[in-house]
Amino acid sequence: MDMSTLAYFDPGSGSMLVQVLVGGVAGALVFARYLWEHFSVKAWLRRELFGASSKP
Amino acid sequence: MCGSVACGSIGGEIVTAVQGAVEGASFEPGSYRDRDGRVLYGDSGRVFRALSARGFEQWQAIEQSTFWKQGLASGEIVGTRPIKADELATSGLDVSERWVGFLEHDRIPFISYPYEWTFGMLRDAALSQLTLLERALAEGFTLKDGTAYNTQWRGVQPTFIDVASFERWPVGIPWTGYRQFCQTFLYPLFLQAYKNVAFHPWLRGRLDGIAPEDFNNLCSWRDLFRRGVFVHSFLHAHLQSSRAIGNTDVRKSLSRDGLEAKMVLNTVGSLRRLVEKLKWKAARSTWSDYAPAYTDDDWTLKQQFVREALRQVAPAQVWDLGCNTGTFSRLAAEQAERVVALDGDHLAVEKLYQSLREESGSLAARRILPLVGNVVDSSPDLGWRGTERKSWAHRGKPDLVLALALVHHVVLGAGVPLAEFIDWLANLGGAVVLEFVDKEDPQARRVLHNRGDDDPDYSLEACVQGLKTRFGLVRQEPLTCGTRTLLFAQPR
Repeated sequence: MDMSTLAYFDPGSGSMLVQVLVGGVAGALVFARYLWEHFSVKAWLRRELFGASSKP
Repeated sequence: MCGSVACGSIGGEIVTAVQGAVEGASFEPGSYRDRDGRVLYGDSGRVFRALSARGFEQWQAIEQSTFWKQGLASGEIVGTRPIKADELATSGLDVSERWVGFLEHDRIPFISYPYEWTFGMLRDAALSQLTLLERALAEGFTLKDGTAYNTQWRGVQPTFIDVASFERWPVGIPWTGYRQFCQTFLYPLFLQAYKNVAFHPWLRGRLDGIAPEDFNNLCSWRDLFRRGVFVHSFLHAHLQSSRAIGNTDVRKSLSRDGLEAKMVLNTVGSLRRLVEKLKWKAARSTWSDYAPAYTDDDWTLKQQFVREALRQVAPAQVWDLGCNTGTFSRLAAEQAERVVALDGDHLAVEKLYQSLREESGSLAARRILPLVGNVVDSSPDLGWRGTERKSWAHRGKPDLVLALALVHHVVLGAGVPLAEFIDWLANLGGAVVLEFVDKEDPQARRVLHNRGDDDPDYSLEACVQGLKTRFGLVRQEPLTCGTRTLLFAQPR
């Protein structure tokens, strides 16, 4: 994986994320996966559906 | 953006040698951000680009690509040739070991900035960049930025100048230039197309363009239903201001989650289709439908007078100030290689641009650069140390200035003293054709209609005397209407 791009300005976290949304269905899935991983959607669902503790 | 003002026929006086890192080299002061490439000037206005080892390695790969060759052939990318370091030495430049590769670029006739373009120009520049990016992505390359300042104009053809922006697509990474694209292209276009608000002061006021949060705050609920606004403005602003998202490594996450080149290509294609559909529906403005009431004789006289001045001066560069829809810019383009057609009326200049686009390839379309600009509120020096973006006088020197029926707007309308206006014209350094409009002229009366006449110094005699003092001999030709006089003055 080449992660060597050197932007001389901040491309913006939100900016990088939102453009993925308009990248077709596959892009929207990547966007959803990001939210799932980073915003405790997984933990929230587990809590709502199974009553499990969301505390780590 | 790096080197966005790179390839210009900049007047020698403003090409400031930046001493230090590279002794003896004359760097473009606006080209400092990209550590992998800098723009330099050599003798006779030659324009070079020095590349770091990393930049040069990227360039060598790009040089072989089809999109690059196609872009060069069509003029969508500025003419670029690799050169050897000893050519720089003969050009009076001394470069340090930091730079390992060197390119020479074609000169751009006159550097301009997005805050001087019309809606159509900004839109076409955006489409040109997106089209190049799509072709690059299809071959595994990308653009590392997306600023409007990376485009310049040859006549009415947009040309991409920041060639060091191309690089191999880093697998799994979204387009890093997206935010810049929104700020310097998309939001200004939205502003004009959806709100009918001129984008120029917004771009001139902040070189980075309009921030997503700011543009979102300008939008009403109704605007959210306009094409592109919900995602590119509303969602963008909210995600961008989210602290939670800001704390995550989005690049790494998206790459791990399987972001593919095809998705980036989809994003860019979607942006292109969005921009293609944006239209500015301004029907008319103060001057766009202006048809001056000259008699046929006066019109012929005026054309002959300007033609004679063009013949006498044989200018390479003409500035047509207050060009309206460009009748006399076209006349100037018959002789001069570069014609900068300036007017403060956006719609009038847009009409000129669109008419030139329709005849692309013609002499006028190759030579005339239409720009939106106001003589009494002209583009200043801006940015870091006031050298990144330059005022008009710091971008070139006209051999001939056309100021036809402009003086009453500047002096009577904007209140600039006549002597000051003549002094400013003289400082531009070229010859001048000035059409003096008497206070009794219907157009002058229109300007004075609401304010009354409070300028005792505004007269033909004072104008002629001022020109004689600052220039020398003045040729006069009164028009038969009795309220207008053509004046031609050459510097001593």
